[in-house]
Amino acid sequence: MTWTYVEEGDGVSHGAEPAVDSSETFEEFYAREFPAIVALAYALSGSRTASEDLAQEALLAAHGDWDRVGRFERPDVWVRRVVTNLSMSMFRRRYAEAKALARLALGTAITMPALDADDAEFWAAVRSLPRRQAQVIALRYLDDRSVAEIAEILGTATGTVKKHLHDGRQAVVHRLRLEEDDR
Amino acid sequence: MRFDERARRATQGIHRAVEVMEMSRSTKTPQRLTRFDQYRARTSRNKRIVAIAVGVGLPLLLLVGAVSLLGSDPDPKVPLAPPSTSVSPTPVSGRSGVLFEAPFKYTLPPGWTVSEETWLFRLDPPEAPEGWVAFYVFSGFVPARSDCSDRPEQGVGRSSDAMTSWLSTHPALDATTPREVTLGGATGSWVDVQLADDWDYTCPGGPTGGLRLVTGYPDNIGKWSIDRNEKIRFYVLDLPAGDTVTIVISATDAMYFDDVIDQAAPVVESFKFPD
Repeated sequence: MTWTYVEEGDGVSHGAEPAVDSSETFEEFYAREFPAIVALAYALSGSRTASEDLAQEALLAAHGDWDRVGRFERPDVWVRRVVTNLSMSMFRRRYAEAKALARLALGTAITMPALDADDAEFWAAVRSLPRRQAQVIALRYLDDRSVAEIAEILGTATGTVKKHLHDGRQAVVHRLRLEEDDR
Repeated sequence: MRFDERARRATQGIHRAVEVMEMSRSTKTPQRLTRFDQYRARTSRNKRIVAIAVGVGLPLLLLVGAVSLLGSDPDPKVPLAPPSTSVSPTPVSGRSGVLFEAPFKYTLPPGWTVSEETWLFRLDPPEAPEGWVAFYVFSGFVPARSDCSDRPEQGVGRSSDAMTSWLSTHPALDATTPREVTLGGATGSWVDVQLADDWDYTCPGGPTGGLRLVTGYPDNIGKWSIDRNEKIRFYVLDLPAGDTVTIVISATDAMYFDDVIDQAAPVVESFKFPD
């Protein structure tokens, strides 16, 4: 499989430099990162049936190349880049949804609860933004990433991240009729 | 409310949802990892199959080539190899042997992909239209009870006519009248169905608003349900060996259904079944 959704600065930033003493197993990495990756997938895809599969697919990509990815200084950055792109891809999202539906047909229940109406409305507004703005806001607020970290994850400049953050926030403020920020 | 406060609350909402999911599966973490083990095993198996194919096929091809050179002239009107887009699905293994007893062929437009599960084939276009859910091919399906038992409906035959007639008169469905069809040498019928607006029965623990429609027989683990708003076309074909093939083409919402059917049509029309 070709991971064409790893875009812009593919592996050029710190994520591509192997750390000498990194000895974390994939299982340890998986256990630590899975909840945050699912949360990102949920926020950006809006699908509680597909989010787990999208997270699994991102982690599967890491697993398939763990000899290399596992030696990155920050494999978590690499996986976030994959999942943010996967979750914004309509085809991937629908494929994950269809796989989840197939499992439902086999009698497996959904274990991810639905969001409250207000929370669902907020993330729907985020998803309606241009792709990069939505990714930046999800990484900033949901994943608590700094501007510098977001720039590394998305493979773009910090100035670009700041602009996407500002524009995205303003758009959501207007869409949800929130109070204007003072700053 | 300001943006930061709203974002903080919405973030907590997502984290709570993930925590609930984690708690509900806390005893199943090792099972999640088995998916990666299965991936490894599948990759390893595929490599072995390729190695065997190369080991057996290459000498055989060389032998055939040598015989051809020494023997008769090839008929220039007959292609030496099938078109590269023509696909013969490998038999799908079920719990008790091969589910697809009669191999068939179909032709995929460029970019389409095939996914093989243990009980079905899944076909996907390179750019799925809005509302695309599935294009699946199942073998040996029969009508399912509506009582959440996953058991076959009693008193309904397994033939194409029996299945599409049953679907078209199902009390939970809005359905078209079954129409006859011939696909790739196999005869059968098709019907379009969606859940009736007044159907509100839900199986405990099952899909929200979903209704089981077809199930595997006799011990095929596959099943297929229909969800609220979903619209499905069922092609059911009778094969000479007595087996049936069920083709499911599904859209998330009836408004996308025609586009989805148009997208799948070239592949459906390319099916070739053995005589």
